[in-house]
Amino acid sequence: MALEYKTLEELHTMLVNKETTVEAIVRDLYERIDEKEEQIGAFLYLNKEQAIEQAKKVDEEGIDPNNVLSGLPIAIKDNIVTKDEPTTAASRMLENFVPVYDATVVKNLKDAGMISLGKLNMDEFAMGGSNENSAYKICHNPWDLSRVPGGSSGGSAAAVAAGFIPASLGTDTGGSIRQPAAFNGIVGMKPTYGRVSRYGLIAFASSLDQIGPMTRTVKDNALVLNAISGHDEMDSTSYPSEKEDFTKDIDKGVKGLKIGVPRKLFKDSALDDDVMDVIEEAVSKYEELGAEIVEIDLKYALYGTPTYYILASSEASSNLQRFDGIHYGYRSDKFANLDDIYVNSRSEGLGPEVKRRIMLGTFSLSSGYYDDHFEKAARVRTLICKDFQEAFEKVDLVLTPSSLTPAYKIGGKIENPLQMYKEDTFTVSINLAGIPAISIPCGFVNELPIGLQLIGNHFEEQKLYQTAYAFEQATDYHNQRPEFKGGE
Amino acid sequence: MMTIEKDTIRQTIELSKLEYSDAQEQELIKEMQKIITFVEQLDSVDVSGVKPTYNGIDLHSVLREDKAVKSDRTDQLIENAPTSKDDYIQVPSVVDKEGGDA
Repeated sequence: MALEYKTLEELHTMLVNKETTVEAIVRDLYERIDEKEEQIGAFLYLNKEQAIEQAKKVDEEGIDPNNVLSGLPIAIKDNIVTKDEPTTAASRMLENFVPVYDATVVKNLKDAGMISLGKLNMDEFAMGGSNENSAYKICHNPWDLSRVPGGSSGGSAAAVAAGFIPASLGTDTGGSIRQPAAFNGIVGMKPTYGRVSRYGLIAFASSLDQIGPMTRTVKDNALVLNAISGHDEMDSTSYPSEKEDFTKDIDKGVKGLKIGVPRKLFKDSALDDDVMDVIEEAVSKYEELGAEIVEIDLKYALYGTPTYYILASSEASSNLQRFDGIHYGYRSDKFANLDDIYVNSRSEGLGPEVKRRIMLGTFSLSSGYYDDHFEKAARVRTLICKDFQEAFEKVDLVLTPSSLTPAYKIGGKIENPLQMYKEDTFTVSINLAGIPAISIPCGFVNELPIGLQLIGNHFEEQKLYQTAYAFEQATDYHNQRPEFKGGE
Repeated sequence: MMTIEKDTIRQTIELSKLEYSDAQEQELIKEMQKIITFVEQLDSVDVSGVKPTYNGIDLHSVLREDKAVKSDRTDQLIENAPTSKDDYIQVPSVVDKEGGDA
């Protein structure tokens, strides 16, 4: 039975109607992975034996018919710790690292009855936009195998698009859920900062990181966010909000909704003309559905990328100090003293992009440069936050492309880090402001998926899901499937 | 536009507890120069009277009850250390015999 493109809801219905079993679903997906994963490279670790064991147990006990996620499979980005299962953050630094605890989101998924099939490939320590910075292997885009899946949640996106799993967890610090979601034609949500616990997320930039769901449909995405969101005592940046049901009134529609479109920003950025055309068609679709389109200006948005790179790198330079060859992870065997352990372990264990960002961060925070770099960037961050607050006084949400271009060729930008940084123009400001945003498929350019990004005010994920759902139900993009073309 | 001096790079490398070969250092200086020039776009932004934002959301000094909670994970945590003895992680002497700073 071809289960690989079923949604979470469809699988649940099949289980309730006894058309299939949890074990059959898990086996079916592993078969698909056996068949196609070599072409993609989405997984760093597969959990087959334990997953089948768990599946058998759930079948014995019976699924919970009132819980859609009961017994369903998922996979987890490899910067989220999973007890007794390897967690590497795609780095040599954590090559043999096995965590002694589960991240809160992993615990939440287990409590919801979900079964993890394995850990997903990514850019090392979440630093990158193409998955090419993985220390282990390249990940390929199932729509065109010669192209990147995006990053840093490249494996998370590719695995869902390829039909290996109906849902995955990704993380997003500057666009790392939304951009790969766009490149793979799937749905990716970066929740409001503080909505989802970061306990057990290997930290990159603590004031920007968020974990979020990646799925093929909007409703599936809301279902997973239901499971992973909520206040957590173990994360003091987790917001003490009430538990919400993000699927509530999801079919509300968009009549009378005010959607802000910053067209001046589109023109001033390096946005690809073909992508602009697809976005404009999507805007027209929203007008057809009853939304009111309002021209807005995000004055400081183009300063988002330099602001982000200073702040994120500075926070990362501090967070990555813990990788010192002492407590866990890679330790160099070349040392005469303690300092050698730090320097050699880090220099040998960390990849070039990670080191580059540590250097930029350390530089920005150092005496003589702190005011002009780190503090200046933090003040521009305030202006970027104000841009959005002013926009939300006029509109309900903001619409932009998720990326400047469709997925590019593997090797196309990796030699030029700066070029890759500029790709993040539309996504980074959202992390700086701590607001939620979702990317949904909205069309194609040269048979490559394009994503549109909807941006909401703090804690307005429900509005985002309603708006995304309306577009999805009025179009057919979410039903298109990749053909695994363009391989060697 | 700030020119990145070799000394500045060397000091940053030391602070970062990293090491680069001479050839890598040459490359690094070029890369850092490009990146620093890029982020210097912020020089033209007027931030007079604007306070910095460091947090993702407006939550500050979140406290919990001052109650000790037992954690019995020592064995598991020690397993992750490259070298250990009993409950301790084993490292070279902090007081150097061979020079270099600890």
